[in-house]
Amino acid sequence: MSTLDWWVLAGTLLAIVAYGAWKTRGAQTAESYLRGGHDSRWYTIGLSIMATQASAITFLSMPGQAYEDGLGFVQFYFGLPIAMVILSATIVPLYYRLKVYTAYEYLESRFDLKTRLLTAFLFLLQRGLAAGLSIYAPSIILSTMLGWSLTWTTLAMGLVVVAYTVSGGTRAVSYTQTSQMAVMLGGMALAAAFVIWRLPAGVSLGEAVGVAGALGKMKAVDFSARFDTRYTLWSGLGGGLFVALAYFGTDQSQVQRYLSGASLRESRMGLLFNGLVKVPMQFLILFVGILVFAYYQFNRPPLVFNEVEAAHARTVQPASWQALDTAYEAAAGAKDAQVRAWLEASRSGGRDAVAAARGELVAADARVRALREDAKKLVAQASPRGEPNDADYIFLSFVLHHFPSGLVGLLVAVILCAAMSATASALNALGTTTVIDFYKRLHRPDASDRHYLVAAQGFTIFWGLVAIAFAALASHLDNLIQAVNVLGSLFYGPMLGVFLVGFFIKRVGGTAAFWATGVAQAVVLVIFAVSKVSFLWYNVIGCGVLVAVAVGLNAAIEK
Amino acid sequence: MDDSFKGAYAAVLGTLALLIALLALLSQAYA
Repeated sequence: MSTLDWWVLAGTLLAIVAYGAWKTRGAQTAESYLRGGHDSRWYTIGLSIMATQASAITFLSMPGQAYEDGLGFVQFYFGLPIAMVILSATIVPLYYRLKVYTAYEYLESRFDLKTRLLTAFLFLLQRGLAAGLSIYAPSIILSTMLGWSLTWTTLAMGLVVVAYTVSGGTRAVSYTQTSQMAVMLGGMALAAAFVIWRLPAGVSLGEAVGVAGALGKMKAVDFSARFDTRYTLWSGLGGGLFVALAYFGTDQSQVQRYLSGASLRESRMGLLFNGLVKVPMQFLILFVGILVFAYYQFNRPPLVFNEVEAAHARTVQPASWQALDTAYEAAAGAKDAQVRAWLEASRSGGRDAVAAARGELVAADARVRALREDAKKLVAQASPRGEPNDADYIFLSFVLHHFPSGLVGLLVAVILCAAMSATASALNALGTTTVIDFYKRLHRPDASDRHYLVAAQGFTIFWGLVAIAFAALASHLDNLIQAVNVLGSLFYGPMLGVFLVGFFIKRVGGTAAFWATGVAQAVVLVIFAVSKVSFLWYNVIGCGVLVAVAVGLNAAIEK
Repeated sequence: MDDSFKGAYAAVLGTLALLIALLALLSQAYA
């Protein structure tokens, strides 16, 4: 990074934190710290919800995923707008009527104390671990590619987030998130414009995207009803709806965002705003990856994008790497010729000529991909404990090598903003749940407002330190980005299940709900430990087991 | 259901349907 990049990066991050601190200056109460003083408008809530969900991995991994597998991942978000409508019509008015601080308070009013405490505990466990990963995941990628110290990156990011979350509470999180979201969206739009500008002269955007389409990258919607294809219209509408209901309806880091609304109306509009813009936003991020792919059809991409690992593999097995490099040069050269042939055919040839050229292009691309897979295997052999997913490095590698000075700093700021906004919501929610569901409920029910404010700040610091410590230890985890996804799925099924039972199956009581939650959580953990079932199914299994056990147990208790 | 939000719900679901249709057309155009 150049000096200008450092100025842009530091300036952006400092301006955001300073703005958040200035907007939330003055005396705090426990109410304003925990619930944001009930003055957020719908656009603040909407942007805050989006910033909470957008982690650094969103911006690092998704363009790389589109580069490798095309636009199909966008379907995963098709269930989200439906979930926003369902939640706005059902659980959000209920949270408002009960005047809750946390989602888990509802479970005590519907079931009993033990069900509330168990679910709140599952949330603390899941979100506490995830907060650590949300700091660590971008730290490892940025430190690898920029040569930063991993420890200092983790510590600096973690401490800044703890500082503004503890000093300003929910309002500071909301205000910083609106500016962070603006930086993220602006940065990605600029990135898209810049990649388009860098396409070779004489090749139109339509033609560049056409090459990506010929290689199967533009398939955004898959109508086939196949279970072995991960992302289809149906898995997106069904599975995506499930995940979104659980995440936005029962995860305190999201619930806290919309409970800060000035009224029920503002909260609902914030959620619906998220439902309107989420799919286009994810499409934009994926499309940046398609543009990067298109760029590399006219310019030679590196064999492996994680250049630090590639250099290491080259020193460990120089002969194998050299052979691979030679084969790659030949295969990539052959593919360049096929790309030109396809362009010629699509400009002037007939249908048959285009189809024939496309067949040749696909075959040439397959040879290049096979060599890239071989190279990834060499990298994995050379450092078995390294981060194995090269796709996570595609976008950052492109930014560092091709973006002009200044824009590089802005894109690194986008990644850090995403990491900080997701972590801030998590710490804010962890502190709030600890105070409201445990400390106040079990230990000190009648203390002063000031007492709860200090306690909430203390618990937020505690969770911040836990997250930083976990991030420091996470270097002993293999394939940590996969871990982020699996971790969420381990707990959401039972959490959604207990809320669904509470809301829709009126005759089930507290004892049945409590034991069903324990059983469902145990079943998911056993499946995770011993079977090869994809983690995408954990939510459905956990929720299904919980509903079945709760209904069965309740019938047995009633007898 | 709160009547005042029915229009907003319809707008969100309608936009989703429109987006899916547009993305399906895009997939087909470049297939």
